[in-house]
Amino acid sequence: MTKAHDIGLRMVRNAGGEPGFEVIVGGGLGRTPMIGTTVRDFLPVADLLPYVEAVLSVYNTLGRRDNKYKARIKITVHETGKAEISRMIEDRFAELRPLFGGGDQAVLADIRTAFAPPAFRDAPVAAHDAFYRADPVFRSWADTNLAAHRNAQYAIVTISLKAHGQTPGDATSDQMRIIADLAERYGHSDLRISHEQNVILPHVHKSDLPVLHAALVKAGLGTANVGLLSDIIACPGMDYCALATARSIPVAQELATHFEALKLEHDIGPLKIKISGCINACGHHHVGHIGILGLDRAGVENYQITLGGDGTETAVIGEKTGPGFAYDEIVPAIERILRAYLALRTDPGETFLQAYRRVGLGPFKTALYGEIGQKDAA
Amino acid sequence: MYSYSDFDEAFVRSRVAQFTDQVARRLDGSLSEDEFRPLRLMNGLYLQLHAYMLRVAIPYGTLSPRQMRQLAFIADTWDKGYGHFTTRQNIQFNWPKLPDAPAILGALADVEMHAIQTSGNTVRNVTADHFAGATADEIDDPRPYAELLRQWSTDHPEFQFLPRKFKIAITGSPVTAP
Repeated sequence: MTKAHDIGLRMVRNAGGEPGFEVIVGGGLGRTPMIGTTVRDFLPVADLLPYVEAVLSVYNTLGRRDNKYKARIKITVHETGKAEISRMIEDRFAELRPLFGGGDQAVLADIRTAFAPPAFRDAPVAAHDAFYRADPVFRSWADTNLAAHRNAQYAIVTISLKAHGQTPGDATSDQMRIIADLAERYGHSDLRISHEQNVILPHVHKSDLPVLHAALVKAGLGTANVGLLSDIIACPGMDYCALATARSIPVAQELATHFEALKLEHDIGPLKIKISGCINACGHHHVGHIGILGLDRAGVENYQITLGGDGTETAVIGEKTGPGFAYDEIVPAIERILRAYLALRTDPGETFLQAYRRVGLGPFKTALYGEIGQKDAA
Repeated sequence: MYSYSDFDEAFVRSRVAQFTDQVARRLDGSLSEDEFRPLRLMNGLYLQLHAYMLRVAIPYGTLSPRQMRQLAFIADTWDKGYGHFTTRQNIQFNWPKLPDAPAILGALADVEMHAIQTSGNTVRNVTADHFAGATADEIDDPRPYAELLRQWSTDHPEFQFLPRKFKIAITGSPVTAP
């Protein structure tokens, strides 16, 4: 998400192999979605704080205070231009850099000691490998919810807070306590919350995975859907939020239960659906492979669809398909899009996003609106 | 993970004490909602459609089991038994009562947590790659840099009234985590 933040800091190496940051400024979603502008290809790590302070300082002086909808730094960058704002940042950085005098580096060195890696265990993983081959339920979960760890005996576990039909991102107090216990028993007492609103156990030895999985299933936390259709980001919408113009959570719940009933989501494969209940875009619909934006049309909820959005380092804002859909039409509309994808993909390895990039909006518009409707929608 | 210094501890406790007094003045009517609004927003307390909402910062998405249990305790004691994790790695409680807000902030301070700068035109909680320190393709762990940014941005006098909110994300890996 470094391209959709006010400042995104993406670690890279320079030609000499030294670590530094690509500094990306002025990205953001909301009413005016913009992919950030790279103002520095390589910032030495030691210059992080004075440089970030320079960006804030320029923005604080230059940013608009006359209109709150034009006050974010993305507008400042857009109105000032990349060359001019880069020059202003660099000038301010030159002033600030000597003032830090290395104090920040002493603090950083001290902080680093708090983030030493845990004492990784060295133990056989053969039993895990055999269990993976023998148990299809475990294998299904492992295939979606585990990620590669730097230590080959370990795995990164994502605990899904997206059980089909539940509110995405909610955890009950019992689930929180169970997760805390499991982190202590199997996860070196480390927990993370992900941008995708799931909980991560970053360090689990593979030999512990079968028993961890069984405990998660027992607590209703064993859903094997990370990165799949039902791993949806949805804003709170009209169920909670005073700004919302439509419901988001029930749409997410119905999509998840609908495709679970059809048993299609593992076949569809990697897919990011993101739902916002108003133009402020807290559900990040602009960067969903399928984005859904709920609006109010004369007192009736109406859902616009965007396709092809991407929130990773290849960030793209999704394209609008055409006229929106009523609340009870949105789930069938998404099914038409995904049936079209299944029919046109070259092979099961071609993801929805790859297929979309190959064929464009056309076939999906036809699937949504029909051949005649497409003319009206154009 | 990072543990509060004496400075961090004293700062967070002083903000709890300050907000406790502000809530008392709101409840006895000596502060109007218009006067109280900027004060509560400095402590992450929003007024939503049906109730207040408290957004608690989870610095760069990192929690200890002890902190997770305290969030469960808060959900049971002062909310409806659940919490909502957000896309910026925070947690929101959707049903707190205003008179309980100081006690909730006190319970958060007991486990080195707070709701400061989760609202308002300030530098918000810095988000980081959730696979930090574990993923195979990482150049360096982003969490120490995120913690440095947290310390620098918290209560930074120059940046408490920015034109608008300000969000920073950091990743130690050139490839975004899935």
